[in-house]
Parts: sequence; C-alpha cells; structure tokens
Amino acid sequence: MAKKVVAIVKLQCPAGQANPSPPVGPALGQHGVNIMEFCKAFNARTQDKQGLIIPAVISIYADRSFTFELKTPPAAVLLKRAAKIAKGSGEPNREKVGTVTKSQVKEIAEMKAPDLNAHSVEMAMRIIEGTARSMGIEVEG
Amino acid sequence: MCLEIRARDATLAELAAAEAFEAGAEGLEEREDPDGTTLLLYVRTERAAQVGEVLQKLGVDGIELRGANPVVQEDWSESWKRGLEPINIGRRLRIRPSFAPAGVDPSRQELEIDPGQAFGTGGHASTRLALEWIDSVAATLGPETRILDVGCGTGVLALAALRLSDATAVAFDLDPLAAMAALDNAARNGLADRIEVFTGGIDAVRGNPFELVVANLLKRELLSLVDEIARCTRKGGLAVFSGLLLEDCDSVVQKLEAAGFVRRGLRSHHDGGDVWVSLLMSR
Repeated sequence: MAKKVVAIVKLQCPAGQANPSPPVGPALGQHGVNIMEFCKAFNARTQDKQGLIIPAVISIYADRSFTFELKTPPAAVLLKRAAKIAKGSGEPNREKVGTVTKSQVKEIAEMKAPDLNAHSVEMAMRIIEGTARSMGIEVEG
Repeated sequence: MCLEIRARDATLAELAAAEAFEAGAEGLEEREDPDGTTLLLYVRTERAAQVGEVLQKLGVDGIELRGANPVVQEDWSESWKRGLEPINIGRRLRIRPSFAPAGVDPSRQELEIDPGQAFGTGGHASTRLALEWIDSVAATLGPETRILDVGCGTGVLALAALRLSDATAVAFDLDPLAAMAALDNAARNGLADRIEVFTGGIDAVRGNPFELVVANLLKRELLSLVDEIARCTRKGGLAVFSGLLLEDCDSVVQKLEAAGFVRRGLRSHHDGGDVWVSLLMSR
C-alpha cells in the first residue's frame, strides 16, 4: 500500500506489559494510533521476554495505521544482568562496580548486533565494552 | 510523574534508562535530535523521588535531570479515537470505524474499518481516490466479475468493490499482518465468503486474468510489478492505480502504456504539499 510515514515514535516498555497509560497512551494517542491494537501486538510479540525492557520503534502513517519494530534490550540492562549488579557506577573511571567476561560481552554483542552500527562482531564487542566502561564495569580477559 | 532527562548521546541515554528502570521507572519515550537524546521517563508518583535521586547520584557528566512534571490523567484507550469520523466516498460508499454509529442514509453502503497495523482506512488521499474509482465503476461489476487487490493492506479496496457489487475477489499482501487484517475486515463486514486473501507476492497469482485490478502502491513498488499486473488483467479489463504523486505520474503512465494499458481517467487530490493521483486504465 502507498504508506507515507508521518511520525516515528520510540518507546521502551517492559515485555508483555504495555498498556494505555504513559508512555504508550500520550506518545501514540497524540497521533491517533489505535492504542489497544498496539498494546495487544506488543505484548503478544514480547511475551517470551518477560522481565526485560524492550525498545520499540513505531512508524505512524498518514491514515493513522502503524507498524512497529522491536529492538533488542539496552546494552546497559544486559551488562548489569551479566555482571549481577543492581546499578552502574557514579564514577566509572575510579569506582568499578562489577566485571563481565569477554565471552559475556561477545554474547551481548551478538544479541545486539542487529541494532548496532557495527560491521563485525569484534566492532559490536568494542561498542559493548565502551558501554561497560561508562558504567564502571570491567571486562575480564 | 514524568521525569525529563537529557543525555548527551545515545550511550548515555541508554545508561540513564537502565538505571531508571532499575529504580522503578515503568516506561519511557525517547526523542533524539542532533545534539543528544531526551528521555521522558514515566514513574509512579511515590517512586519519582527515588528514581530522580538515583539519576542525580549517578553523577555522570552528560546526563541531566531537567524536570519532573505531573502526568495529565486521560483515558488514552478512548481519546485516541478523537477525530476519527466516518467518511463518505463517491455516491454510494461510507467507511466508518467500528465505534461510530451506523449511518442512516440508505443510499450509502457501509464498510467497517478500524486503523491498525495495515494501511488503508480511507483516511489517506490515495485510498479515497481509489475508492472513488471503484464507486464509479461498481455498476459494471457482476457476479462473474473477479477482482484482484495488489498489496491489499486492510483489504479496503477489494472489500469496497464487493460491498458495491456481487463480484468476488482475491487480495494479497507481502506483510502477513496486513493479510490477517484484510481477512478480519472481510469477516467483520460479512464478505469473507466472496474473498480469498493470502500472504505473498503477485507471482503466486495463477489462473484466469481478472476483470478489475486495484493497486494502491507507491511508484517504486508499482513500477516493479507493472508486467505482472498486466499479466493478471484480462484484455478489456480495468485497473485502478493509486498512491502516485503528480510528479511521478507521466513516467508511470508511460510504463503502463508500454505494458498494454490505456488511460481512461485521472483523479487527483491536494494533501498538504503533495498532490496524489489515481489512474483508471483499461487493458
């Protein structure tokens, strides 16, 4: 169909738990998007990822129809989970709050690869390592 | 509450978001611009202070808590419907969302279509122009007429033709969600027994050519399908091509004429800065 994009909205919601309250309601409602249809579809497509925060990029078309793409969970969330820490460091250069192994970084890089602007796993790993450093998480090995 | 966070780049925005979710944020909207990212974090009022504190304590250069605003309470499951009204098209057709009351004008046949994950609600000029052509040729469609809807989206074009005639239709879309929406709309409008819907491309269309082909496609998509659409259109049959901008029209018509189509009419509609065009052609 002759779809013309009029807006792109980026949201992050817990998997399987989107509902018409914010951020979904105001972000999509202002464009006249069918809120319940979005919530139903988001929850159906993320139900197997319970416990994770899932980013979604929603394209809204001129006739108020929409499509959306799910992204992988934020690298910071995956790193915290891998390092088994509750929060990152306030002073990442001085205070280290946890460690992850190279193989954990590789695993995260592979998972995030579709969303990273990286041409190889090695480059994706360097991006993830950069995020780890900014959180005060050391990479072992 | 809505906490507004400004982050210098995407990595810092991701970090701030991760910390905020850990501290109890329930969801966020992300707005990017060339200078950074703004996060609108939504948090229960009782947790707002805790989340704000975590972000302040983070003390990372490039992440800034800019403000905390109460969220206006609104029933978003209802308010998104504002401005979505039934649309009268041509002389005999009316498209209405499911929550709008049925029309009282007996001269108009209704189709119920809600906006969702497939294009084609009647709200865009390209759909409306195609529907106007369908309305104008519907009187020539009999029970033997077969209609093909190429890239059907919600199925609105084929379903409108069926609503206004006794014909039958085949509709397809590469997007499985669109094909599903078309099937749902066919059932909801009591037309499921006269339409076959499938997910796939035009190469899967086999058998006798069709008396009417409808295609609301952008120029690039249409140009790649012209020869296949010609194959699927019976000699003497009609085709409606919509979704074209005025500036693309000449080159598309040229290609269609080379494939054996003859131009019968053109409708256009100004929509903001664009002029959308819909062609009626015969083969």
